[in-house]
Amino acid sequence: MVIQLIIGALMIGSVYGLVGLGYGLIYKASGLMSLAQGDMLMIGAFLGLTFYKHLQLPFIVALLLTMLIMFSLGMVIQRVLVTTLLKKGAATVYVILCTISISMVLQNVAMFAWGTNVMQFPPIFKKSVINILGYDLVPENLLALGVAITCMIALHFFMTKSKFGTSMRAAAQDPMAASALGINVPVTRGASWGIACMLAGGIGVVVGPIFGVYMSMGSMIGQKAFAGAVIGGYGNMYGAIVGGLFFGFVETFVSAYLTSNYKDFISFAILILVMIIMPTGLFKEQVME
Amino acid sequence: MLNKIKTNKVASIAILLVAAVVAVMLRERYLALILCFICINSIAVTGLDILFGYTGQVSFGHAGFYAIGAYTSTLLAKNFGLNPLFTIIIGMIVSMIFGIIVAFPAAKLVKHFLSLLTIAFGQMVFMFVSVTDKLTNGYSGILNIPDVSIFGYPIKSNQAYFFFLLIITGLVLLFKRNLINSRVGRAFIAIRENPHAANGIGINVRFYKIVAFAASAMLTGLAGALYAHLVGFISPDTFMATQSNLFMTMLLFGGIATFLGPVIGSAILVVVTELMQSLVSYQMLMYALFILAVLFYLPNGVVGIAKWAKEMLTTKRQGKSRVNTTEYHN
Amino acid sequence: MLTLQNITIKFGGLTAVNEVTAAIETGVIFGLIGPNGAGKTTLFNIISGVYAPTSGTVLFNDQNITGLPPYKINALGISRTYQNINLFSKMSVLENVMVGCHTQSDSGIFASVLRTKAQQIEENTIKRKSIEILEFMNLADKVNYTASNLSYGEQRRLEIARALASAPKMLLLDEPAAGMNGREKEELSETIRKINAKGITILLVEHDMKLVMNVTHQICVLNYGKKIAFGDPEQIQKDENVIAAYLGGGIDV
Ligand SMILES: Nc1ncnc2c1ncn2[C@@H]1O[C@H](COP(=O)(O)OP(=O)(O)O)[C@@H](O)[C@H]1O
Ligand SMILES: [Mg+2]
Repeated sequence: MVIQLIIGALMIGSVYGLVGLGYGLIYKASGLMSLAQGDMLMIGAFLGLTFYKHLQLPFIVALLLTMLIMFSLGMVIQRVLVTTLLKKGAATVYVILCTISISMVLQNVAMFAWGTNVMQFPPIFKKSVINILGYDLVPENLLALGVAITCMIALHFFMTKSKFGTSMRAAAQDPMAASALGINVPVTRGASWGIACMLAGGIGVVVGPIFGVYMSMGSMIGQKAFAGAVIGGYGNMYGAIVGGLFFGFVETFVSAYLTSNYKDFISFAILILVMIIMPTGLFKEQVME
Repeated sequence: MLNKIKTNKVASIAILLVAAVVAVMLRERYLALILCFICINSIAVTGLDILFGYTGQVSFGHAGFYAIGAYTSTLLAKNFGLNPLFTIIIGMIVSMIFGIIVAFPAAKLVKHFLSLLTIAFGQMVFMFVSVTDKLTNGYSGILNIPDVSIFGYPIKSNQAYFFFLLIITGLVLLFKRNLINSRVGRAFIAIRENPHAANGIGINVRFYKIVAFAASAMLTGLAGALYAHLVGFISPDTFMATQSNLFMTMLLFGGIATFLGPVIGSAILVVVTELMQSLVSYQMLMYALFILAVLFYLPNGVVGIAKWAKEMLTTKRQGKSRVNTTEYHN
Repeated sequence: MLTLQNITIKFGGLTAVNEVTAAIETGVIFGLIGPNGAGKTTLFNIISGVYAPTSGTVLFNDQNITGLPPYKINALGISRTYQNINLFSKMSVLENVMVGCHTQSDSGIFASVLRTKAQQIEENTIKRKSIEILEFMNLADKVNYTASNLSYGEQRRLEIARALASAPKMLLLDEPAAGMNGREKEELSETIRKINAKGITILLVEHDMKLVMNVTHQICVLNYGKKIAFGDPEQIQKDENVIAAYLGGGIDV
């Protein structure tokens, strides 16, 4: 029982962590906040469903194709909408508002394209339950966990080892110095939005078989991810993962042992408490004036 | 002098026109209901304006205060049989108290984190009313909320309720104008413009941010209570995050930090929403487009355009217009 | 009036102000000079409460004000202007000064909402006083301008007007002549003297040496956060440490 709970908590927690990582990435690279991450996950899930179920593509192809499309979407949003807005001298709150309207548009688009019903994502594995060391586990849960961990590790190496990743970090730390060194700061910023959307979309494809795919599937995940990113120390990639896992465990264990009705309420209460007591988060990022 | 007469004339004609439209609308129950919604939203959005427009503190969780006002008044009126006129006031005060509670941490946070805190607050209220079945009847909501009655005469028709709301809206706007044109209002605006300089010139920034939150929550709570007694039914659906975003859209579209912006924004969005009843599925898209239109083309909303037009007419000969339609109200 | 005792502030490894001790007497115009980065603005920030010093005390009329928040220090009678202009840029010139009257008035929230008689009277007083101050600062013809539409020199004068509105006992001016032309600078010297004649003690940071030597009674010189000289303008001009610091620091005298 406890093992299944832990696996479940790790799964949902790493989903939050991965989506939250996107918030952190965007914040680090551009000092901005996007509230559309949850709906990016939703769009990713629908795209994945379409490729896998309707176009009969192999799962891995569906996943990679979705991630590619989501990357471009994020990049376009940053390059076209956000940059224009900033050029007009809008304050950062207006960018948040812009991302809120983007998320409304995305939900509406999803509604037109795929309808309002919950759609079943066909199972990816033949067996519905597998037995590992005497425990019955759902393979899709393990897949989600695996994909999340793979993405995190890949991102870690991309950011620390690849040339582009290093430029991204440099541009985030000191845009002036970075552009003086010949780093294309606008492109790295666009890429960070792209990667954030890509991660959210990709994770959408793998959680599709677990939760089903529907229009508002992203909003709660998006908010929890956000909460995780904050308590982990907003802008800190690793903090976002820790924070996401934290909320995964909180909600899994609260609903197993205390109350399932109030699990989200409790998560948000914790978030608010953390913001009051430790406004810089676990990893001490600057959030105050 | 000539200009002044002209503006007065224009204003009088506008008021007469509005009055005529209102008179026609009042002949029908449904149209009167729309007028009531415009008043209620105007009050809620005026509350948001005090916080966001004047003090520069964003909130994406005002649906939470709206819900607190609505549920407090409803539960007290229904469970204890108290006079709704009285419970509305309690709803307002409870909402204000929550405003102050939220403001304590909020007054320390910068924009992004403030946005998040207010979102979390709105979500918590929504979840609470959704799952606390015993108290709020959960997702099914509460039916048969008693009507407001004055001196024992219940206000049953939408027409009568509209006049009741008109008086309250008028008072709210008057109080808002007084507040903004005072020492306290100047402190709000100073905080929005430059919190460090405000602090340096003797303004207790934290205190005034809390005051702004309290006033804002109070008005939005009042609107929620008035809504509950108008419609006679409330359920969590009305108080989702979308409602917070809708208040924000109304404010931005009407014109932020202006006297009439909240009223104009509410009127336009209420009417458009009603006109689109048959196209409900496009509603979200429409709100989104309204926000994007404001963000990209009209940062000062409809009032901004009106001001600009007026400037253009009056300063045609002097050349440059002072009102800049494309300047953001940061 | 103001006593600084062993004020030190460190930012990470950098000691921006280092063991500075000084006493400013009531009624003087006190100059604070030094090369760029010497720590003058930082010292202003400590006096006005923006930063709490790492160690040391600030006494204002024998009251310990170290670490008090800026709004309280302003209420006690210390007002300031900023090196980088910090106006309420979308408010009108008049409103900027009216905000400055904040501590000099006390209408509360309810009086404001209800527009009580007392509140109206106070508002009128605030307005009248603000206009008087604007006349004094030679900005009377600009009352209805938006602050951001003023010229640079006018914005600096508006900052002084706003600071005066809080009826300070002591006024801190951080490079008030920066960006001004020769005529404006002369007017500024005159204004500083006139403010001082009203009984307001002035602490002046300024790079224009002619102006400083002209108006101040006493000067304290900072270099790399340390006080290197103190005296009247003649003494300072002859001081070898000061000459060396300025030659080394490379600032235009
Ligand atoms: N908030 C701060 N954080 C870090 N260093 C600071 C800060 N404020 C000032 N400094 C540093 O302190 C030194 C003194 O600066 P400042 O007081 O502005 O000099 P001045 O006004 O004399 O030109 C400079 O080296 C500056 O970089
Ligand atoms: Mg300086």
